Amino acid sequence: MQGQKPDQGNKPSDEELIARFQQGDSYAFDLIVKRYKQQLLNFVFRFLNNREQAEDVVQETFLRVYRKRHAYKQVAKFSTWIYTIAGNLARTELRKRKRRQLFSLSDIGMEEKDYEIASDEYNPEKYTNTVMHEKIIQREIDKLSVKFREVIILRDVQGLAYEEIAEIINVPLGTVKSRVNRARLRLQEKLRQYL
Amino acid sequence: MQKSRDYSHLYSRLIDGELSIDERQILEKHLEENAQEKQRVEQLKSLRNAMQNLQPVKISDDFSTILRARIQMEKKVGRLSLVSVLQAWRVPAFGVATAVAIFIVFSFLQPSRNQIFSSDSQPVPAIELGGAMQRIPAANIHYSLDHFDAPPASGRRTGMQKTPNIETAEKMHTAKFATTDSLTKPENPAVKLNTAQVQFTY
Repeated sequence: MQGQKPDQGNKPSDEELIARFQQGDSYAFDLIVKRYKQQLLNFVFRFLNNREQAEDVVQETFLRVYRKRHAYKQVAKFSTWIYTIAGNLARTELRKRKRRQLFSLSDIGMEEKDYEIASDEYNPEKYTNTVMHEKIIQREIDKLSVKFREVIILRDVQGLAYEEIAEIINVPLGTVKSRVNRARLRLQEKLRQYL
Repeated sequence: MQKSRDYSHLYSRLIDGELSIDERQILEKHLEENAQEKQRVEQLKSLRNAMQNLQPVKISDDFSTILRARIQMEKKVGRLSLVSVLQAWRVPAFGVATAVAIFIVFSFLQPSRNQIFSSDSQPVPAIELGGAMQRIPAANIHYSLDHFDAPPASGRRTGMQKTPNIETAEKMHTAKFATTDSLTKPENPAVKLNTAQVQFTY
């Protein structure tokens, strides 16, 4: 079905796009994919730390949006809805992975060795951008429990507001703030030699 | 030694700029007095900056192409699954339709109850009751296999005879069995009366 291209000068909101898609405008769906694929991939990748699996999850997220487009009601932001879908799928993938890991425990030791960094002399400003590279942060994110991991990613990596995070993971606002604080303190504790 | 108060629950709110002026002043004063905690807050700021500056993962070039292909495939599979569902239900649906058709046909062909018991309207042949002859319309005699109800002693009388007692009913019952082809006369009518119901209307 051919959709009408939106006016480039007047960028449609997410809610307008999904409304058009619900009315059969498949071009609106293409715009949604274009708008969200990168940020969803970042979110899911930081959650799973596996690019291939993350991309599969994002694909599945958009398929769910396609299938369940009429389930979306404009009582919530579209971004909240799509992040909720992606987060649920990522958690499911994580559970599958844990079940698989029960049968292959040999990877654990190797992962630890990859990030050995021995340096007592460091300049915090310098090391923020050099030594404390992504793999170290990612390793420590992976060690967080799921409930801390998802809030710290949504808050500090994705830059979402606390209120939106509360809606996405369906917990009270105070709980989100508390979890973000505790997740940050844990990461700071683990990474302080690199900070 | 007095232990200093723990303000760590406010650190994130300080970093995010969510503290009120009063809270901020109290916390900043605490940090000025505690260099270790101040360093901790600085590390938290560095951590947040590092998290915000993580390199985005580049998405595959063929991501959208693969997605479109999957959607197209799903559309086809969806159509196929609808057809397969219809095919799977074809046999049971045919069976149900046949059963309904048979039921309808039999319900029309089956004779009504009045037709079956039309012989009831025929009078029972005369029965000799103690030398007296009387006719009781067969329609007034109803049988069931449950129990025997004797007519009420004080029932309303419209007829010409006295209320029949059990003995009379027994004779009539015997006579009825004797005159009905479809029924077999019981060997012991007295016993059979216990399972028969005879009603009289006068």
